[in-house]
Amino acid sequence: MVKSKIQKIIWLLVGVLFVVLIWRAHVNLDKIRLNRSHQEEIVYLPDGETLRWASLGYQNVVADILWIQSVLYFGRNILDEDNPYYEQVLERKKRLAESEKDKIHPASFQHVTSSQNSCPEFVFDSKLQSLLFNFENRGLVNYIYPLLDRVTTIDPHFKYPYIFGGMYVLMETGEIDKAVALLEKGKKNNPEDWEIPYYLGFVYLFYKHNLKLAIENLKTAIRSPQCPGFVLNLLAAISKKIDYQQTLISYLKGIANSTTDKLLKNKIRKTLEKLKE
Amino acid sequence: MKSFVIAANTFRETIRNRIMYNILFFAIFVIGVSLLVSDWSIHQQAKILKDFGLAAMSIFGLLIAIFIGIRLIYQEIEKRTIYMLVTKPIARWEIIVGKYLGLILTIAVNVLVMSLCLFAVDYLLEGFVNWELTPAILLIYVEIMVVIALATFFSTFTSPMISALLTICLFVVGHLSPILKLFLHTHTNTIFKLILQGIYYAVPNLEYFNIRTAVVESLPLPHHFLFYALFYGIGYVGILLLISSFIFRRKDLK
Amino acid sequence: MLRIENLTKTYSSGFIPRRTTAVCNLNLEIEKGEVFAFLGANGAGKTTTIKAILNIISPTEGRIWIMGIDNRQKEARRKVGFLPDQPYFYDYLTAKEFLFFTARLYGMPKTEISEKIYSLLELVGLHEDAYLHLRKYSRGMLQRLAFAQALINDPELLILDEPMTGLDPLGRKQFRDIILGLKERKKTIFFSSHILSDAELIADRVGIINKGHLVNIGKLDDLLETQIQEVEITFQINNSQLPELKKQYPNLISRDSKVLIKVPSEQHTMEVIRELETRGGHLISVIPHKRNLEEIFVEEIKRS
Repeated sequence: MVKSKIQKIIWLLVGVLFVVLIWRAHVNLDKIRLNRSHQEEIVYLPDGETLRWASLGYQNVVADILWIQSVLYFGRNILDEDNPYYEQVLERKKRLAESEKDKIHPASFQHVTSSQNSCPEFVFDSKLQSLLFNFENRGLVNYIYPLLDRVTTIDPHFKYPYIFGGMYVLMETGEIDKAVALLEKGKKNNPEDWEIPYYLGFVYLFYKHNLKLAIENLKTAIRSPQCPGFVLNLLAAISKKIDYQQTLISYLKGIANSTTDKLLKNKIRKTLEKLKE
Repeated sequence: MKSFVIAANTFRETIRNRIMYNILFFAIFVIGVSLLVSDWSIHQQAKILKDFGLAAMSIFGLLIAIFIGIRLIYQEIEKRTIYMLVTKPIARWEIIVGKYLGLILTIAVNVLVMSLCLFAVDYLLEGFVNWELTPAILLIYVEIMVVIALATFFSTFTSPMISALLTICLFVVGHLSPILKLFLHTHTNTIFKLILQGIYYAVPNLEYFNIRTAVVESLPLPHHFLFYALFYGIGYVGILLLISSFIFRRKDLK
Repeated sequence: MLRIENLTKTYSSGFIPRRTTAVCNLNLEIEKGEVFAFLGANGAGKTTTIKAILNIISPTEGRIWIMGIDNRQKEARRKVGFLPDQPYFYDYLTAKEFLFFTARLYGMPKTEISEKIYSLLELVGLHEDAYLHLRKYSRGMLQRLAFAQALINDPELLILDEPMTGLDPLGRKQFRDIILGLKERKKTIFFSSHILSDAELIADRVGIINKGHLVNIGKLDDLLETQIQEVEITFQINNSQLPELKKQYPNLISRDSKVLIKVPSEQHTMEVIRELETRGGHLISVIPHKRNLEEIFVEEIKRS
């Protein structure tokens, strides 16, 4: 009698021991992971084409999963009040700022763009620059573009990653060329779409200061049957080089109204509010 | 026709099979999980829901093929219940076709249930029913039909484990068919090319049944595509059942 | 009714194929209305032959005709009922569902079936368990159900593989009665068995197979008659006579005051009776002993 009771207690203790082991390990592993969260395992992901074939017909799902991962990665590594890892990210930002050499200077763009593009003056307005070129999260999410590239290779018709990378990520991190490349890829894969050329127009005008390409893309956008009317007005306004603030506001309003994504909508709304100040 | 008698009996047998329900619940679970996933635009949530839902249906079919389809003929032979069929005034091919039809019917019912589930959840999310998903679901079903025909074919002459391996192998090759085609263009070595060509034309190109992207993104489908894909699938099912019947006809049962 | 011509079945198995001959050059013809018992030791080839008849396996050589139709055609099996040596049924079905399924496989119209099922289940004594799932059936119950499904299409030819196994004595009697009833209705019955006494009771003709060869075949009566008869004479006699009697009849067995003497033929019987009566003995019984089937069987096996 007594022996079996002791046996039961021993079994129980052994069980408890294992549970404690798992618990402690879990907590510590989480801590380690936290510190390395910006590195991730993304580096070891095969390239988009390989993943596409490895999906064996389930490309959409694989793209979706990778997309979700991308967004989570992004969310974990930016300076945002909602981010539970805010402190770690802040620390990383400080370390980056110390080692940062080149900061985006509006003037440098004036140097880069040639007079051929004949951008209207307002594009270089300092208030505009401060709004659009204030990249809070620069350098914090270096793997977002490779990730988005894979997502879009696996499922080229999945539109939102293009816009996310082309607009939202751009406005947060300032990787202009990568954003443009992504949007161009999106345009190539979705020739009937109006939204991507619309965003491309925005980026070319306000970030690359290339009026010619901006207008070309807006024209492409208009050709698509689903294109809403305000784009035509916008194109007209830019061509006539009318008031910069109106142009920007119109463009931004257009985005805010047409996009169904909450993140981008909020971002644009905030930007619009700051513009009005 | 006698095949229908056997089909009805097989339907009764498989629809009571517990594995069927485990897998069914898994599929429905996946549909449910995909809803928890995001807090983004409804459009994106809907896309993810549809992607996951259709993929779940497809994987469900594949798993059924492996767990049930493979045993369909093999089990009858092992358990000797086949004696009760073979000794009746019924041809051997009627047995194979009957068992196949029975399982296919069971799967049709399951796919229907999953589809309704998907449509219902999608309706709750988007406010309208996305009937455009139907062609994709139809072709998912045709793909399942082909894979089960493959499983049936293997089960007429080999053990469940090897049947499962071979079926999975052919499933993978079937989906990599487009790459095979690319390889054919790049490789010049004739023998290798001949072998690859043989494989390319022999193995069913399962990618033809994958119109999920087109459907979810509302992209236009080439005209008549659905019909050709259907014929392709039915053609393969026919050939596989034919060969299975031939093998089964000459088989000495223990 | 059933004609087997030169049936040979060889199996090759193993990595380096080794040939085993299960049945060799079997020739057999069964007439309509007869009850044929197919006897043999385990592994003699009985089940192989039956499987060949029913197209479960295909012969290496030889042909088989059922009612004049080549047995490879499905039509040949339309009026054939088969009882396998072990019941192999779908255990998720009930007896009723199973019989219904079987009946439909024979092409019986749905209207006829329920009546037929009921009467058959009554015949084999399973009408109370008709709605039980087969996995709950005992061995004996399954055997009875097997018989029922063999009869469902009102077959002209019944092929039974070891029909009496798994049955208690009552069951065996019931089966024997059913078979005799079928015989009266001019049905042809071909059955294999180990239980020779049953064969003795119901068979018209008997075939003995050993190591794949048919070693003896003939009418049961003929087979039994050709054998030597022994006669057992039992007498009551005074024990004082015993020593002398023993000299005369060395195989004498005595117990109490009874004496048993076996003589090889009827002629000797009268001699012995007279002798014992002279010595003051009292005749109790004279029993002619016919060799039974078991002895014939064992002899044939030893011979080959």
